[in-house]
Amino acid sequence: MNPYKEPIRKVEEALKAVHGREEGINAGAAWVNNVMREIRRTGVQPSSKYSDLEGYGQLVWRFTAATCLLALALTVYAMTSDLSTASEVTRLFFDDPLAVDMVHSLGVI
Amino acid sequence: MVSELDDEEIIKRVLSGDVNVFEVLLQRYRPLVFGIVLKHVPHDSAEEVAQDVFVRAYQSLYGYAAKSSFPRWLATLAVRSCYDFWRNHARNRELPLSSLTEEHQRWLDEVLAPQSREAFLEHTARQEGKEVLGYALDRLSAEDRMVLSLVHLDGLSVKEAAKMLGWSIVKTKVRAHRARREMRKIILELIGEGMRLR
Repeated sequence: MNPYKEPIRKVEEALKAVHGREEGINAGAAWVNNVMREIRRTGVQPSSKYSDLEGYGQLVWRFTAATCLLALALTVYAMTSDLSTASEVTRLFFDDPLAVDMVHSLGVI
Repeated sequence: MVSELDDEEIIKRVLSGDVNVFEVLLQRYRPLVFGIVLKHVPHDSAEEVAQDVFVRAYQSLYGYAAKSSFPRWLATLAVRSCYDFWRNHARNRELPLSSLTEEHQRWLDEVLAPQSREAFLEHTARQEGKEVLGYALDRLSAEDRMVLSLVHLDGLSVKEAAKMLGWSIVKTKVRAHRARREMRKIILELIGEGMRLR
């Protein structure tokens, strides 16, 4: 058993209580005027990173399952069909021996 | 009276060019924004970060589109502003982290000693507690700091925290777990340091 488990729990609880304590601040009329001055200076923008990119991360993650399934399906297809590099090269050779010879001499296959 | 208009009505008026009406939203939601900001950034930076929240809210009003309630949307902006504050802070930090003093160690010792609920609450009100918490959080990255504060200190659900930070739920869950483990390591170091001093 970890002898520090209980002391750590106690400190965690105390820090949580410290964090939860309400703090006040005296942001009065001067602060409000400053913010309004800044706002008048900047103006409204038709779009922003907060509106356009909101949920962008989630959108990307939403497609991960579909991408994984597609990759899996392609792998299964490649394994079950007689698709292989060797058979493809052989087929190409019989179809067009001259082209294969040229490609081979260029070091592509 | 303009101050009696609901949020949607005010936003429509601001977007049609009546900038001054935004002050009603500013006054209405100032406590909400300061309530969030004061929990996540140092006291002396709170006004600046809160100003940033309202300026961003104003600039992004077209994107708001009333998909969620205005205060909820504003709270999200407030959390993201705090997160940005810590990211900038980490980038610009040049000074090494300060270490804890004997007063802070005494505070930790008293937390660990058996005590009544009243004594515990009185204890957590002391400035040393805030400084110990600040010290521990300062040793975390901006990401870990924010997720730990939202999930473990504020008590938000992973889903809520994810939405506020704009992260996926999986990332938030993993980060929250990792941040808590880091925090426990830091606490263990603090406890161990106190024992060495005795």
